[in-house]
Amino acid sequence: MKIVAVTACPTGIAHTYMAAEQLEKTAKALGHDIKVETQGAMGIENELSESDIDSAEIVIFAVGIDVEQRERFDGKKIVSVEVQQAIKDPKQVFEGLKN
Amino acid sequence: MSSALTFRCPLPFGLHARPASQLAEVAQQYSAQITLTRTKTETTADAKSVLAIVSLDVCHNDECLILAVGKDAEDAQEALGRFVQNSLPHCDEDVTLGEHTRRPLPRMFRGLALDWISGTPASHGVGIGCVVHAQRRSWPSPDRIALGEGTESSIQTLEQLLNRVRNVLAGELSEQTGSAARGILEAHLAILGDPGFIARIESLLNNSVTLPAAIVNACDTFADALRSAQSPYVRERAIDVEDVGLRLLEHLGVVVDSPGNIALDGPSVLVADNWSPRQLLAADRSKLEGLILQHGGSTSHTIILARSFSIPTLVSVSNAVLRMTEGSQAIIDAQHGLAICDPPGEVRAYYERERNKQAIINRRRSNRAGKPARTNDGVRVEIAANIASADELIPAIERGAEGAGLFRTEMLFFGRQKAPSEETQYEIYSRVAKEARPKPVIIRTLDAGGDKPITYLNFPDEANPFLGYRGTRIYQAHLDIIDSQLRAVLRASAHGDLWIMAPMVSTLDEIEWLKNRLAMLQRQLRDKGHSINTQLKFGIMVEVPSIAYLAPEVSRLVDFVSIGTNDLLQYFIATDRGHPEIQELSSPYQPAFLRFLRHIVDAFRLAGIWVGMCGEFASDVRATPLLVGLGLNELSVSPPNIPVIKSEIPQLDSGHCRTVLEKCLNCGTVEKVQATLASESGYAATRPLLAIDTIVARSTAKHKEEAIKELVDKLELADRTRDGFHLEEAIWQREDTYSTYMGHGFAVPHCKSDAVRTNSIAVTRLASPIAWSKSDNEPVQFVIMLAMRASDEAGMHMRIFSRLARRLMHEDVRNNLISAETAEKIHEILTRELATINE
Repeated sequence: MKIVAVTACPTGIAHTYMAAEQLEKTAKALGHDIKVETQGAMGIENELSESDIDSAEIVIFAVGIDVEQRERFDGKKIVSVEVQQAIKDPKQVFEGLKN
Repeated sequence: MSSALTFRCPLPFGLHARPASQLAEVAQQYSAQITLTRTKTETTADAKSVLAIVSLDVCHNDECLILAVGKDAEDAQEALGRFVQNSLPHCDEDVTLGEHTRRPLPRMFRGLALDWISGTPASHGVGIGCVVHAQRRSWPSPDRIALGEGTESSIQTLEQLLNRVRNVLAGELSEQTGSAARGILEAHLAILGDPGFIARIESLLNNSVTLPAAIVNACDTFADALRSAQSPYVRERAIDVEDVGLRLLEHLGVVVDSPGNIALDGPSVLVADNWSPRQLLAADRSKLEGLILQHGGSTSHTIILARSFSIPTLVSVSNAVLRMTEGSQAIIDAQHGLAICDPPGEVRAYYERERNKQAIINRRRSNRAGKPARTNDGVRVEIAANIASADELIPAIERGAEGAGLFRTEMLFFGRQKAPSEETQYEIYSRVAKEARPKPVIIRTLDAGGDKPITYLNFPDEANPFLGYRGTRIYQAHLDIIDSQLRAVLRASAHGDLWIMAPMVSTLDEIEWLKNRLAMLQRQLRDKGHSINTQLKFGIMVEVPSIAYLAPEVSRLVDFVSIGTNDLLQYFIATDRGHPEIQELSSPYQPAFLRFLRHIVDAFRLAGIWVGMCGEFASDVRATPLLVGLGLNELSVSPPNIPVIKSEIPQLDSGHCRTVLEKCLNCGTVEKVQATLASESGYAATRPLLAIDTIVARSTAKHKEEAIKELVDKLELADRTRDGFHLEEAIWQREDTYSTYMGHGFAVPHCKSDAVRTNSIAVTRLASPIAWSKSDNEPVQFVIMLAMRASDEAGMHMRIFSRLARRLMHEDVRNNLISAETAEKIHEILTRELATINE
C-alpha cells in the first residue's frame, strides 16, 4: 500500500519523531510504501507534497494536536491514532488500516 | 559639664534588647549620669539599664535624646555618638528574614493525599525526623513561690545568686562560637547586671518579700512592660527575661513545674507552642532536624538562634502540637513553608534527595567563597563588597568578597553635632585595612549634599540639590573636614591596602586639586614621622557624565575609576529613579546607557586604567553577562548578592559575553535587550548536550517522582538550569499531557522551559525497574530526560533530540543501553548514536 502519514506531538520534542520512526520501520517491514511528515519543534519536516498525498491510498494521522495545513488532506481517507499508539504498537496501526 | 546628642532610631524593630544592651554597655564605661529620652512621649530612662531602655519602647524613627552629666560627660558623648552612628544601624543584621519566599507545593504532590500543615518559614532548609513534643518551661506565678519554697539553697544573698548565675552564663558563653548564640547569652548577662532589674529586686527584699518571690515579681514587671510594647521584636524579649528569671530560681533550688531539657534519640523534628533560646542552646543540635512552633514571631531570639544554626524552622503553625503526633515521622520544608506528617515513601525519598542536593550546593558556595571568581575561559573578575560601616566587612568577606569596592564614609558624618575627629576616623579606617588585608578597601571620601544634609556643613537652600553643591564640590569650602578625613586615611594606609576615591567628579580641576591636597598632607604627615603606604591608590567615581569624555586626561591623574551606575544613570537619562510615573526610563538596560558604559570602559581600559563598578547594576545577576562582556576589572556588589554572582561567573564564557553584549547594544529598546539576555546564556556556544555528570549509571530511585527529581537535581548541580523547581514543574506538566513512556522499559520525560540554561540530556539507568504510568503496566528501567531552552527553535540541538528519539526505537540500541554498567559506557553509546547525524 502507498501510505502517507503525519506525526505531531504537543511538546514536539520526542514523540513526534519516535512515532515517525516506528511508522517508517514497521511499514517497511510489512512491505508498504510510506512517507512520513513530522510536525514538531523543528517545524514541518519531510513535507508531503500535493502529488505525495494524491497518490496515497490512505493517510495516517498519529497526532496529539491539530495537524497544520490540514486542507491538503481534504477528501482523503484518514485514519487517526494517538501518538502513543504509533510508538508502542505500530503493527496494530497498520492492522487497523485493513478496515 | 553636660552634652546632648539627638538621633532618630534607625532600627526597623525599634530599640530592642540587643541594641539596648550594647548601648548600655557603652554608657556603663563612664561615671557620668547618662539618660536616654524618647522625645515623643517625654519618657526618660537610665541609659545604663537595658531593661529601662527597652521599656521606653523606642520605635523606628522615633527621636531620642541622650544627655550626659558629669565629669567625663564629653567623652561619654563622643563614645555614644560613635555607637549611634557606627554600630546601632547594624544591630539587626541577622534579624531580617531575607529571601524566604513561599512557593507553591511541588507539583507532583498535589495529586497525593498528603497530610500537611503550613506555617511561616523562619529559616531555610529541609529536615526529616521523628516528631518530639516539647514544652516551654512555664513561668511560675508569684503566689506559688511565696509559699516558702527555695529555702534550702546555700545562696543567702542576691549578690551571691547573681554572681553564681553570671559565672554559669559566662561559662556557656565561652563554649559558644556563633555570633547569634553569643549575642543572646550576652543579652542575658546584661539583664543580670541591669541596674533597674537589680534595684527592683532589692526594693522588694527591703519590703520583706522572699528572694524567689522578688525575682518572679521583678521579671514579671519587666516582662509585662516588654509584652505591651508596640514593636513585635520587643514583645519577643519577654521570654529572655523569663529565661534569666528561671535560671535564678533554679539556682535557688526552686522547683519550677516544667519538663527539663529534651533528650533526643535520633533525628527529630521538635514541635512546641514556643521555645526559649536557652532550651534551644541546651538541645543536642546534631539530632535536631527541624523546629515547628505554634507561636514565636520570626524575630524571637529562639528563631535567630535557629537560623544561625541552620535549623529549618516554621513558626505560626496553628495547632501544630495537636496535629503532629509524637513519635510519627515528619518532614519540614522551609522553602515551601510546610510540614508533612507521616509522609509516604515517595515523598520522603524526594526530600532526602532535596536535602542532599542543598548540602552539596551549600558546600560548593562555601568553597567558592574563598577563591577568586574566574569565567569558564579563565578570565578573572574581582567580586568586592559595598559597605557603609566597618562592621560589615568581615561578614562580607565570609560570603566571598575579595575586598571592599566601596566604603561609603558619609555614615560616619550623619546625625552628629560636628564632624568625626581624625582619630575616630583613623581607628575605623585602620580597622578595615587590617581586617581586609591583603585585600583592598576603596574608601570614598565624604559624599554629602543638600539631599543628605549634614547640619554642621551649613548647606545652602537649593532648588535642585541633586544637581547642586555636593560631593567633591564642597571640599574647598570645608578644608578642615576633608583634610582630617584624608589624613585619617593616609595614616591608616600603613595597615593594609587602602585606596582613596572621590565622588561626583566633573572636571579635571577637581581631580588636580584633590591630588595636590593629598600630596601636601602626605608630606606633612611624613615630616611628622608617620609612615604612609607609598602604593596608596587614588581614583574617582564615574557618575557625572562629563568625566566620561575626559578619559585620556583623567587616566594620567588617577590609578583607577569606579562606575557609580545609580547616579550616572539618573544624570544620563534625566530621570529621578524614585519617580513613580516614569519608572521604566530609569532602567540600566536602556541600550543608550549600555553604549555609554561601553564607551566609558573602553576609554579607560585603553589608557590602561583599572575599571570597577559599584552601582546597583553590578549586583544584578541578570546583568552579569553584559558586565563581563564590557571587560570590567571588578564588580562591587551588595553583600547578600555575593554568593550568587560568584556562582554565575564560572558559568560564563567571556567571548560569548562579548557577543551577547554586542547584540544588546544593537537592540533599540529595554524589552529587546532583556529578551536577548534571556535567550542567550553567556556560555561558550558549544556546551555539550550530554556530560558524564548528568548520567546516573545505577540509580536507587524507587518511584517516578524520585527518578525525575534525581535527574533535575543533576541538571541543577551541573548549572544547566537556573531554577530546578521550575524545571521540575515543566517536566511534570508534560507528563500530565500524556505519559512519556515509550515502550520497552524506556521513558523520555522532556520539556521546553525558560528555566533551562543550555540544552541538556540527563540519563538514569535504574537498578530495579519502577512504575511509570497507571495506563501502561510496564515498568521503566531507563529514563532519558531532555531539557530544552524555551527560546531555541529549530537549532542543532533539536535535531539531536529527534535523532535520539528515532534511535531509541531500535532494539539493539536499547539493549546496549540497558546492559551498560557505567556512566562512561552510557555516554559512549549515546554519543555514538547521536554522532551519526550529518549536518
